[in-house]
Amino acid sequence: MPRETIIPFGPYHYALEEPVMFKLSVLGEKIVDVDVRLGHAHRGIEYLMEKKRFEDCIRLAERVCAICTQAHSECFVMGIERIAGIEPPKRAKYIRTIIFELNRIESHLLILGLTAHLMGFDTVFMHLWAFREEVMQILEELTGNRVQYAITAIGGVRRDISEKQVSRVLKSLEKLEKSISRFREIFERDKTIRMRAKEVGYLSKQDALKLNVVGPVARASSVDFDIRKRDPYLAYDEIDFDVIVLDEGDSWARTLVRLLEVFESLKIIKAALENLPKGDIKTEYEKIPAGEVTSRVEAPRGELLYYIKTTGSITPERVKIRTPTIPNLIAAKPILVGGTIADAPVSIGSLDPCIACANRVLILDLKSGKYRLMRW
Amino acid sequence: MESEESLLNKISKELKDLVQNLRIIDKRRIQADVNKRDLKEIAKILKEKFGAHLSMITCRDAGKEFEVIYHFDINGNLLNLKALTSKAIPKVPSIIIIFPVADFYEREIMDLFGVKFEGHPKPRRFILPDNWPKNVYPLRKR
Repeated sequence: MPRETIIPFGPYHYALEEPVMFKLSVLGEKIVDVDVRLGHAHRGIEYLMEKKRFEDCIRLAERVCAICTQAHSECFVMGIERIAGIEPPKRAKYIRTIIFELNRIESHLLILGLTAHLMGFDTVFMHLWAFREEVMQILEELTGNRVQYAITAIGGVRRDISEKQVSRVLKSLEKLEKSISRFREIFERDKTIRMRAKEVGYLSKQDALKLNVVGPVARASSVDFDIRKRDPYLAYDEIDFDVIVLDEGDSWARTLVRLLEVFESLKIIKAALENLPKGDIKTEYEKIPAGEVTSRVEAPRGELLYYIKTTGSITPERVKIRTPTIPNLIAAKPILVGGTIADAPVSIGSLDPCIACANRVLILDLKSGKYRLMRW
Repeated sequence: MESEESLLNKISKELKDLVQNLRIIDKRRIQADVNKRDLKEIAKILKEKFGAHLSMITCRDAGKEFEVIYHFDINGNLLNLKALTSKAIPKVPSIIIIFPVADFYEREIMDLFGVKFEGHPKPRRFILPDNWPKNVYPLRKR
């Protein structure tokens, strides 16, 4: 009887940009069981939020994850606006939609490039990241920041978009669309990519529904689950776009869903820029009353939820964050089991795990059994 | 997408007296209180009859008790079910058999609040380090 061997994949591994531990039980080359362990990148954000003013919490929420930063601040601010009954002006909603979608493009191009890198296709990786740089520049022009945009504020936005910027951004987007369309053919037809990703890491529709996975992982397994359509927020119910759903369920489909979503996002941004309503960019408010809310958005990686409870004071009483990577990591088991170790990096990469997101809950200091909460 | 009212009627018809205080609290948000003993049965009905998606489990320190909130997505509406458990012996039945995704959510709450999920097959550490002292729960309020 051959015995199972446990191979540690992580916490530090070339396929992982962030620390997470996958314990792969293998029989020869074949993976038979997977165990996931988180906790290597804890920063205690849920606890910290209980100690900060609402305005500071927005900035902290942006720092949960540097890649889906706009999704976090948006979700938190939307929750606070629901509690206080603040309705942001239409122009602010459109601007927030534009930044949200630019953020999605930036995030998707990042993981598409990384997937190509994991497959050993570094040319695609280099080119895609060069185009991602153009998106970053647009974001910098509109918000003043490359990563944490700091444009969302309770009741609106902190910066307006000028007419000149609209035309400049529209021009850059057109150029960008042309450059990225070339990659559609590469990802669909290229032999290397097909051999590394086709029929690798299969997740059936039944499993996707049973495991409640979200985002591109679910949509690549023919589960039509997109919060922008299911529970519309900002300007998504006024702008026409399609939800990309594929039925292959393999690493290739998960990659292609993201690529096709980039084009949908470009469509949304264009429509929002062309129909940008005129008016104020911020509604003033006085106080955040007591209340509780569950707010959710479609982050680049899937459904993101914030539960916020306030008591009428200047800080929230409890903030719970559920990031899309947590349910998606559950799918690591059906995706990896039955495959080989050599396929594991690409399969895990196709889940687009964002470990900083999944690890945000708490950091503590301990010495001889005593504990101390970190405060700053 | 389904309207809140029609979903509310369906829920009250299927779950009957398993839920108390069933009400619409906001746009596409429905809330109800439940008894923790009925959680498994409710989860089963929600899964089989409504095709619910378990979005999140939140735990909150409510002073004398812990409030465990289950957030289910049903056709675009979010149903929040609130269960209370005492602080002296915090125990809630695990719904991992019905919703496998609850595994990570339940283990996270076990680590941070010390709420036990009865029937969880592998209640191991998930977030906190292995050498973390026993009976120390960082998100509990003192």
